[in-house]
Amino acid sequence: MTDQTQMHETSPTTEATDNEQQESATTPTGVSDLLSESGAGMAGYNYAYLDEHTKREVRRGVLKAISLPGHQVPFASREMPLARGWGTGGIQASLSLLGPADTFKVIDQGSDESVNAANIRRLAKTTADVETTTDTTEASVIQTRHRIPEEVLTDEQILVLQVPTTDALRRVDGSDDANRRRHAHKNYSKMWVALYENVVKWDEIQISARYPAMVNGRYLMDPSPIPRWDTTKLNDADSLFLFAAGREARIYAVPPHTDVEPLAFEDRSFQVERFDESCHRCGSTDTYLTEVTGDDGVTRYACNDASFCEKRAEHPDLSKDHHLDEDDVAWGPETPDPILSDETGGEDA
Amino acid sequence: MSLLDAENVTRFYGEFEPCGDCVDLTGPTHGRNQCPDCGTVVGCADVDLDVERGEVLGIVGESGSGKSSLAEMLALDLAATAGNVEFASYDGNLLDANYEERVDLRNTNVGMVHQHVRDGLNLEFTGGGNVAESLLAAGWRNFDEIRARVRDLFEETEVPVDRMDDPTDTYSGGMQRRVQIAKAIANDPELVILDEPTTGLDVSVQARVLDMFRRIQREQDVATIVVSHDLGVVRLLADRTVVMRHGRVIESGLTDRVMEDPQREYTQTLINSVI
Amino acid sequence: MRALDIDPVHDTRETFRALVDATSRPGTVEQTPTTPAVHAVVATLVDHEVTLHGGGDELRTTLGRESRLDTAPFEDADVVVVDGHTDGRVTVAKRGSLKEPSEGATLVYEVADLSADTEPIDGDDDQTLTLAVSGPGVPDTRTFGVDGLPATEVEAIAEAQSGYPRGVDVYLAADDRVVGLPRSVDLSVASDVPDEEVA
Repeated sequence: MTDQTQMHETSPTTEATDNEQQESATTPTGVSDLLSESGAGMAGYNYAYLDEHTKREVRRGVLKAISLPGHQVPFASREMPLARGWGTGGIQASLSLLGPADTFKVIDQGSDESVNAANIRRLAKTTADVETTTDTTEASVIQTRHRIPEEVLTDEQILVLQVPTTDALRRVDGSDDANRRRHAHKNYSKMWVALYENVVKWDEIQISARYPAMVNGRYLMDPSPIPRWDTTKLNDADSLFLFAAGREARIYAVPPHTDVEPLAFEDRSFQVERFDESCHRCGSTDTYLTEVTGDDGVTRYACNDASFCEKRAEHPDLSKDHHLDEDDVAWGPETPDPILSDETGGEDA
Repeated sequence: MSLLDAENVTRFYGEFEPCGDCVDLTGPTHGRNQCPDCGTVVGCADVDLDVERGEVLGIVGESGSGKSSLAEMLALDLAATAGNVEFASYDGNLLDANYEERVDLRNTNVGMVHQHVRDGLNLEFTGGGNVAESLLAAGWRNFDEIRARVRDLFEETEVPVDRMDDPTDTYSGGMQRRVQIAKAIANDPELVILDEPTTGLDVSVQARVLDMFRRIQREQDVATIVVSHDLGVVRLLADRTVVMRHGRVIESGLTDRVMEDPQREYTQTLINSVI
Repeated sequence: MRALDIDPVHDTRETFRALVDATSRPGTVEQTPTTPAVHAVVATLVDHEVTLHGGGDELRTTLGRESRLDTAPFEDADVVVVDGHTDGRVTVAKRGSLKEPSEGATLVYEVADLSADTEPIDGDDDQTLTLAVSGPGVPDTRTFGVDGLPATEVEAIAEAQSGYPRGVDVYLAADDRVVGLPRSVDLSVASDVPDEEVA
């Protein structure tokens, strides 16, 4: 069953997927309740909330996932004081990693300030005694939903991505069993046919988020609902990326310095989102922008990465690799030269 | 050397451990294909055949004669119980090929046209997408080249090119059969296997599909095994024919000879029942 | 685990982080918080949900006391502790299936020494091998030194990892140091690297 509709959302602002809609129907009251009862202390709770047996299970899964880049490793996902879909997989991975020396950041669609992000951060701070931060460059572990930060991640950092849908092949076949056989034999022709038909219809590949990518030339991976803008950041990065799905009980990984190649044709190449506007808050033209509607009812473009936008508002020339010793570190889409981009306009048809 | 040389190809079905005498207790002389001792069904046994390059071999028989089991084994869709098959593009016994080798062979060397359309096509895909799948599986990654090749194959198999971007389930049965043929020959295989190529088609459509295939087969000189219960189909396409009954080959030879001068009574009956 | 002087919460977490680093950056020498590293690794990974082969009495007794010990023959074990080398038997360790390759075994080798030193090894020090890895987690090639692991065993490990994605994952442990050799990497002996550098 080819779900055409899933492949056609194009506008960078239409990020909502089926999963998100399901998620919005539930309220993540679990953590707040838990924390208000327990007060600020850890009394009565395991360190990092999870019992050691659960952590071992997650940890074994994480190590196998790193050893098999892009392969979805099953693990015994447990109940968490969060509604499923609100990052129960991500939080299990984070809590299995975190220790008192860590600084933890949580991003929910680019923002540190959502109720969900604040709850997860508070659970980690309260039970694992970690520092928390909103500054990407200060964090050692970052849990995120739907974005990879704009500032370059380093070899000291681990990014944990929350995953609602683990298998890229589910776009073309609803049967997980059939899809696992396809992964076993690297049989991805059905996905390729879906891309072919996508181009037949639109003359280019029109997939907004969850863009399928080959990892290490072996496994086709769903990179979670990050925009195409972020997909290229996975390739040959310095940091480790862990993808965790609580509901589907799967963990997968992209180690540092691993090839991650978005599926595309030689003559219909992978394209990232391009924006004609600049961020109305900080003026950036080299970041992923989303539409925001202000109190005045006017719709403007703004950086989706709120923490970096704040820094840019103060220091407009701050580069994405400002915190590194080297310059011009490759990270995400090549930023078009501002003058040239005016001439070339949007992307090639 | 022949393109394909099969010896002793055998396939058992059933939930019981074969007793060891299954082959001896079944076949045309016994008039059955189920072993009376252990209940094993002998789909086919001790089948020897060979196919030369560019040749069309017909396999004819009634339902239950074992011809489809044989075709599926040669098309790498079914595991064999025993036998040895030498195939020009494969080093070793083709029946022992592992999964990856089978996938490779099916993508590039052996094209199969299935009796049931759902075994051969994905009806939700467009017709063009189904043909493109063969090219994509073989590693084609240039969209314009894939489009051009699919268009050529549609023309070749006489499917209206302006339908290539329509879902396959909107195609007629004849068009679906043609798309299967286009898909089977997409990567210029050395061998094409047609399983009951006319079943389910109107008589007038049957003739056009067969004519089209015969033209392509001659133009491309592609070796073909055509399996059918319909002697007319085999007579039209096949240079040589083998007749199967109760899981055994009971007669083989040049198609004209088999049709005009059958050595076996059963073959005579088959021919008479058609004419 | 306290019997082994391992804090069951914090030492295992720190060991896990060392293993995360070791696995995602194969060939780097990472540090475990407790010694010997092989105890730290087993204490971090093993409980009754997985089967263990090998390991010293002390380790097995401690695991058994905590109801975390489920043993299995070499060929069936999820985690195998190896004293020095397997005499090539690593090739018969569990490699998982194509459908679930993560069921391949994890082998923890206790070796004499590990060093990140990539200086070419002197000819007279025939105990030390320089190993080279490349693949995911490694920009270009990374080399490291190991004592007490025969070259034939390295070849056997490479063989056990050759059918990717099926294969075994290996950790080398010495004192408080650990090196990861996941099946995703290409592993070879590079003792005879020229003086200049490995690219």
